[in-house]
Amino acid sequence: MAAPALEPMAEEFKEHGISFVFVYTREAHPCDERPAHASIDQKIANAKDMVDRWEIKRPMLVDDLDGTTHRAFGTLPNMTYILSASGTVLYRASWTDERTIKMALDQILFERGLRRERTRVSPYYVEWLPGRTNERQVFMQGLANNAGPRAVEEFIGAIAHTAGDASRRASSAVVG
Amino acid sequence: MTSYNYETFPLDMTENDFTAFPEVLKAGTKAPDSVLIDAATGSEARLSDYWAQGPVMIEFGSIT
Repeated sequence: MAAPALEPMAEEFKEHGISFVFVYTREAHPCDERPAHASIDQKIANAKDMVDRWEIKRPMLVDDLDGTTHRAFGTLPNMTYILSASGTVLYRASWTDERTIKMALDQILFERGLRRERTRVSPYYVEWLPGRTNERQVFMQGLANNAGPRAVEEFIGAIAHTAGDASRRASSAVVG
Repeated sequence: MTSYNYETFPLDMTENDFTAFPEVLKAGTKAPDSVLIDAATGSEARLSDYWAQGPVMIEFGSIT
């Protein structure tokens, strides 16, 4: 999956010297048409197909076959990071959400303005649990289009399994 | 532990490497300078090539 809203946002922030890139990972939902990667050429070909399908203009950077970069950043299927010009993590999110990305980038520009005015700026640490829309039918339809019925079935199975585990944990916690 | 390139979507999303994220690369830490392949050119690209020019927003994902 990719967030198409990030394409115009990438254009908007380019003029402020902020670049957007995409890192291609393992297939989140392997399917008959696009199975798990067995070669780097296969992974690059899928990345190119993704560029074409979603008209991605950001640089498409393909991770190695073992997922060295993806694993170093936490291995989630659609996570986001913003790094500073020295490579320090400024923002990270377990899911790509254009609303909070926009807020974080606006904050970077705001701080840049303060520094230009010679205002002293000190970093502080935030953790945050914002909510995003999660229209499961829309997600499933996207999964059906991009990966096919097997991927949809496996995803539904995982949701049911995880929900079952959670309710079992909750009930055992009550009993225990 | 499943292999990185799993064949089927993990049944239990609360296990395996889906739980690694909170423990790595918190805000304020320095990101690794990974080597990737630019799909457009086939040549190597480093994340530092981008952050050397200013802040960089990285989205991770796949076509499926």
